[in-house]
Amino acid sequence: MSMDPEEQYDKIYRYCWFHLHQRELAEDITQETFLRFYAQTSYRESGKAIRYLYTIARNLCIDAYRAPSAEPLSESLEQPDPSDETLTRIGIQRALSQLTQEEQELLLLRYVNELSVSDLCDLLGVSRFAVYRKTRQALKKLRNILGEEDFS
Amino acid sequence: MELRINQLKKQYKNRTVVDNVSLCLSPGVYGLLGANGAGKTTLMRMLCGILQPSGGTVRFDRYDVTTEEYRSVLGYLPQDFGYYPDFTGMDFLLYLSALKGLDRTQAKRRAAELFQLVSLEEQANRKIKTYSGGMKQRLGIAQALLNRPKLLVLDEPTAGLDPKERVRFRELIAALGKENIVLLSTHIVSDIEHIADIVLMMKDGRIIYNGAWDDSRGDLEAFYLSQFEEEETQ
Amino acid sequence: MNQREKSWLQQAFAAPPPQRREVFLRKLPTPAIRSTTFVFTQIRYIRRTVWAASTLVFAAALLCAYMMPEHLVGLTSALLPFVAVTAVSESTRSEVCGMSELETASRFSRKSLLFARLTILGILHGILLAFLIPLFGRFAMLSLVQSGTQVLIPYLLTTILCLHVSRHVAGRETSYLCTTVAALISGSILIQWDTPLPLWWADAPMLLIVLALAVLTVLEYRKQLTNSEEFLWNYELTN
Repeated sequence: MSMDPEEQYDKIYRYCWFHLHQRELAEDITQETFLRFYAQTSYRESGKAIRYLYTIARNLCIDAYRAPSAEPLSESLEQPDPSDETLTRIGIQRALSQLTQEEQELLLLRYVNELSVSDLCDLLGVSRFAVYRKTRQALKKLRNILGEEDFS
Repeated sequence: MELRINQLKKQYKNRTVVDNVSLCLSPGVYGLLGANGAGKTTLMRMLCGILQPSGGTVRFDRYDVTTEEYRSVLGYLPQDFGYYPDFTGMDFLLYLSALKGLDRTQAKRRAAELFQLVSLEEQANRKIKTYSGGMKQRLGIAQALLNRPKLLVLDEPTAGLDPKERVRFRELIAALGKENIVLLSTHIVSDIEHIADIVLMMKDGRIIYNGAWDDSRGDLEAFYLSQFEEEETQ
Repeated sequence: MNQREKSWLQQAFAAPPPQRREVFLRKLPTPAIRSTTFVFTQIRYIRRTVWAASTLVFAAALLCAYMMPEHLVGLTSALLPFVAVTAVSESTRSEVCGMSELETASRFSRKSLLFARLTILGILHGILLAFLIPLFGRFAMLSLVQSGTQVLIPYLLTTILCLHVSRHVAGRETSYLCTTVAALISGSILIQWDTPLPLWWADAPMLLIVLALAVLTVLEYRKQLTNSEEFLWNYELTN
């Protein structure tokens, strides 16, 4: 299974957005990730392609945290899509924000970007068991918080 | 983005089919007009690396026609093409996608896009032997676009298309010609009038006219025919 | 994790739509698939007839070895020409079916394609022939050289003749002619049915013949690789 840029672009972008909450920067880093991915030859077609892609993205995001950003703060407060779903989304986002960064990242990668458990282990540097445990924990926490409020 | 053709020549025994053609093409639609036997197909085959020239060079930016990089940006529709028996339209596109270096997931997605573009979604999973002439032609156009080519070479692309298909085709070509180099050949003058930005007229292996054509120059068809009258009176 | 919860999460993590996606993806230099991967992609396009023929001969040889070993050599050698034809026709398929132009204009041009096909076939038939040689040795009491000759001569001879034919005859006639060639060679083996080894047999000259045939086969296939591009067009234009 090799990496399909069309399929992965949005996922990597979403991941970068999660870390940075800045649109331009997230896209810059997404593109840089792909360029770096193609600049090397060893992992391009192996089963490790996806995890390598995410590793590049993750490292670039971490570096970006350290560097001072030029984008105005208001960018990060931008609400993307006003619809009747907004109330639910805000509620869930608020609930999510009560989880740790690590837990949020895990939920994003596992259930939204649908990374395989093996890729997750490699990316986050933890054992399979740890991945299952932490995921379960995060979900439990989230469900508890959401359970306290009423969503129909 | 530029296609440089320099002193291109093709000779067979005593016949010179393409005679010292030099052209420099940048993004836009080029209509290659000429009678059958004028050398159009031979020229196009040389531009696609199918025929080896007897002389001259062809370069897309810095890539020579014999390189893999050149072929990566190339899309070609021959005048006539076959298919492996029992292939469906989808099999055909997937097969060629593999040859063009796309991996299977990309290929499937691209094929679906293209079937929609040429209005063949319903025929995609039927065998090509059941296709009408127009459908097969549209399939041919689809395969030429698989790798998002920057250089598109189409040999008699409108043959077999009905008027409605022809109009759709013109729109497609116009859109592609905005950022890519499209070279299409035909012996039907009205195709050129509607589609091409620049007209290249070919006779006896030579380019006898190279430029835009507007109404102020008179009737293109008349001019084209007059070239042949000249030959007859000689 | 049910579907509803999943969609909640998807919404919660949704990012504002990217602005430069299409432009970037168009310009992205997607590098070539490695040659080995390309060869693998071509396996699925080798016709079933090819696999069937090899499997059939394999099975027939095995059966014959156990049930009527006295006919083993005759029968199997008579079948090998047809196996050879399947390989040759696979290598000329592009011309016969009119796909050559499209294939040549692709990134992995016809040469790579032909090379990939020949590699796959070479491995397949190599295994078959390599299997038959010791089989003959064990069940028909032939020496290594004798087995080798009995297996290789029909195969190589048919290959050489058929490749030669395919370069001088165009289109579907090639397959008829090649099948005829195979039938003739096969027939001449069958005629000497129970006397697989001629009376004048000697190891050395036979080995030389096999070697010569092997070299010729390689040369013929090479011609296939280099000539293929010009052959059909010249044929069209000069006729």
